[in-house]
Amino acid sequence: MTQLPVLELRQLTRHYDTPAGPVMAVHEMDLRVWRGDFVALLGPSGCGKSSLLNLLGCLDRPSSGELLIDGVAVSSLDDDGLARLRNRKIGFVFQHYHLLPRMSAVRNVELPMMYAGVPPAERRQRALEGLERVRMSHRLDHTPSMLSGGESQRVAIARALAMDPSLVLADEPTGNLDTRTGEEIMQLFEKMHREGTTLVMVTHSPEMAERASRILRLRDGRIESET
Amino acid sequence: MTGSDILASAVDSLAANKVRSGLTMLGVVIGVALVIILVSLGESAKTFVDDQMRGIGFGRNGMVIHPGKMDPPIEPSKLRLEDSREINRRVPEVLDQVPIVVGSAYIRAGNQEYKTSVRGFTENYTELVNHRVESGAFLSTLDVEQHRKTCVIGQKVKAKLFSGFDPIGETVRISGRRFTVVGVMEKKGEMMGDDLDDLVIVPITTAQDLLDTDKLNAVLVWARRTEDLPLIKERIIEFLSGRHMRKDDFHFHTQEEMISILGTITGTLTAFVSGVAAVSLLVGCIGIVNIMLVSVMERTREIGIRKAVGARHRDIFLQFFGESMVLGLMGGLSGLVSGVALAALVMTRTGLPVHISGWAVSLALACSLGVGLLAGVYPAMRAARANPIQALRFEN
Ligand SMILES: Nc1ncnc2c1ncn2[C@@H]1O[C@H](COP(=O)(O)OP(=O)(O)OP(=O)(O)O)[C@@H](O)[C@H]1O
Ligand SMILES: [Mg+2]
Repeated sequence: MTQLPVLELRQLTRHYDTPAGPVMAVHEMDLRVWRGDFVALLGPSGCGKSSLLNLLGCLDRPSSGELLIDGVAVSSLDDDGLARLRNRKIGFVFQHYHLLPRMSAVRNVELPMMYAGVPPAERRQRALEGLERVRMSHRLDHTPSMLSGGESQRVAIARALAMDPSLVLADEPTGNLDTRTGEEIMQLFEKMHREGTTLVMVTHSPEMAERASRILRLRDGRIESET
Repeated sequence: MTGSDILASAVDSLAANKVRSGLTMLGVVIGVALVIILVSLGESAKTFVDDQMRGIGFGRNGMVIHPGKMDPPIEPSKLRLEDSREINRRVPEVLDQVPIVVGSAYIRAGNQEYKTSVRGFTENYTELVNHRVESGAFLSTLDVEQHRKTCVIGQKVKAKLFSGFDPIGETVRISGRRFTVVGVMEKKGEMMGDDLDDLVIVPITTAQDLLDTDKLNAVLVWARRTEDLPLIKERIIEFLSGRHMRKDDFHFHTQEEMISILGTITGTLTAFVSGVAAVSLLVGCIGIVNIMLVSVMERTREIGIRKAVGARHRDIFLQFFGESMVLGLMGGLSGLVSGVALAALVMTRTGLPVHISGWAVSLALACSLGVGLLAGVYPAMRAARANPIQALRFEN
């Protein structure tokens, strides 16, 4: 089968230079993620989960090694190329939601489409559909300060899916939520997985990780094991 | 990202901080208002002088010969009636001239008496000056030659002395002497502070008799062609000083000179106010830079989020640059409105024609756009350069 992996990591490395010496946050990692995979990244605090996710999401550049997204080497792209890639191929879901505070829910969901140059009317239509999918149609005009944590995260998920990305990256998406609300968000992720979205999710909780199709345990910037 | 996206985002974030945005614009508002007031007032004053001159038919081809070194003449005049007559003969470039004698006297009809201005002119006055007879006739050549006691009265004199009946043919007494009213001048209003309705016009020769003088207060001279004025001036100086006067016994005023005198007075003022305008525009510019930098700082996380969802360098730059431009332009528009209002107020209060200079408006808008542009570049560049991860992690 000659299917292209969504993600391919070749000796991917990211170290930070600190006054106390270099920190190996991601160390010579090899990995392939296939279309439709739901990968959970599990590991103790400080093992490099967020650092890895930032690399995968092209928010950060590796110190060495190679990262291919849909077969395209990230190192070959300039900043605008990376911005385009984040816009078209990647959707982010953050622990702290990271919605724009002055904008309503719909407008937050429209944001990636605005940068993609989608015409306003179509933007609005697609944002409404997206919010419907995460069952947020009743809070369209609410700004983030008027939304609960769970509601904010649903809006953030709608935003991540707005451009129909190849890959959704989530860094502790339920980290700020109570168990029940976290469960609702997890169900959304499972639904996305069933619908064929490729997902990489960082989590602290082994129970949450269990619901993914692949579990990667990280330690000190390396993949310790996979189940 | 379309232009309207940029605009909407700018208006949004400025509206979120109304007081701060307002204060930031203040420098631009003041600067722009000053530019408008300044230029408009200057142009209005110029139009005023122009209109006044043209109003009495004293166009750009006209010139005044005043006796004495300066205004007002402190020495007694040496200009005589023969001098003015000589001008027509000696200087062919001259279209015509009108000698003037000015004084005041009591005028009486029936039992009404009051003091008014007496003007002595020659018969060609109404042909040269845009000041016409409404009824009756103007003075004739014979009136002037024979020192006749005829007069033409202004509208106010008519109203005061002849309420309800026709003054033509009636007799009035000026300084006790009997004059026949031959005409009434049209209503003209005030010209350069001179009430052209409150006067009585008599033949120049009669005026000299009445006021007991053989001198003139001024001579109005018209050139056939405006460009001959300097030459005419030379010729007149030459023959007048040849006759009986020194060079500095008289001097000239052209309309250009009057405007340029006005120009030097307003020029000093203009330089000062331009300085203030420039300084407040500069302060406005610095204010915008400052607030934009603060705003970029405060919104670091927002920048990170926008970059995470795909904003390019250019998108972030345009967002903040657009904000600065909107600030500058809004300041400019408020300055425009307040400047126009203030200028109009000053003009109506001082009796100047209400005139808002089109190019002052363009200049002011260009200034405010320039300020927005200058002030926006650096902060917008800082915003665009932000590293996405650091920006996302930023705590505030
Ligand atoms: N910008 C940075 N500069 C220096 N060191 C950093 C930086 N970011 C992360 N690190 C270090 O890199 C290591 C990995 O950090 P990272 O945030 O990826 O961990 P994590 O697995 O996401 O932890 P957590 O579960 O607590 O979120 C940590 O030791 C951290 O101190
Ligand atoms: Mg982390």
